Amino acid sequence: MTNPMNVQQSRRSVPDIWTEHATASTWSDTLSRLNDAKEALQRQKQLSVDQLHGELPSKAAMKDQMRATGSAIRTLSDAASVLTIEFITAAVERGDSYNQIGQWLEIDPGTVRRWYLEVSEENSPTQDDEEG
Amino acid sequence: MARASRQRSTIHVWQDHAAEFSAEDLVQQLKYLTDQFQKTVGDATPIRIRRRARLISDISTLVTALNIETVRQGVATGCSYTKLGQWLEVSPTSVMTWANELRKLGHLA
Repeated sequence: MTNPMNVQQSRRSVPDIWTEHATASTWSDTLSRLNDAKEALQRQKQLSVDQLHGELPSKAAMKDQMRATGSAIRTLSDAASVLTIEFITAAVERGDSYNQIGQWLEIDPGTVRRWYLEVSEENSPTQDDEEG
Repeated sequence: MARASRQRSTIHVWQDHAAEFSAEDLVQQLKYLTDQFQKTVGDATPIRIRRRARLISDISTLVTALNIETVRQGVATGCSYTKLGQWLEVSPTSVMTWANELRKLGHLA
């Protein structure tokens, strides 16, 4: 198992630099979605606080609020999943072990491996791609 | 933020955050986590990578807690398990399981 804390930083290759930038860009996109969802949740929370000082909302209005909250949480959940997978992919490609990644993310190493293999299989070129 | 393993049961993760919900502090926590995460992007030093992993784990834990809290509030509001499942993109069975566990713990009538 490679412990990154014990590895000297070596000069990065051009592909390494490209990968880092590509990853950072994707993470930024994901963070942007996280921020949007966070703001949606903030609006829902403010709405709830406002209602405490006014008339009670109708049942339908409360359900609408729950739906909006649920949608924001789903976006958050998606973003967290994307971040997790992108971290795993980057870490495995850096040479970190499934065990180490699992410890960092607090996920079972078997799950880390399964997710990585699923993602890497989806991204690997098919035979048609290679022939084409 | 209290550390909570994602390998713990979902309901226990929610319990870890229950006090935070009553303080209505969750969005602030999320803001803190995303701001911190932003600082790690583009930095591939080992310490930043470990920090990034911890932040991802914390964000995921918070999302789990938010799911349970939404179920608690939704069921209390009269939303069906099916509707809550659709909104949160989880199975109605999971919603029902969480609701039942919340009832057992006295957090839901």
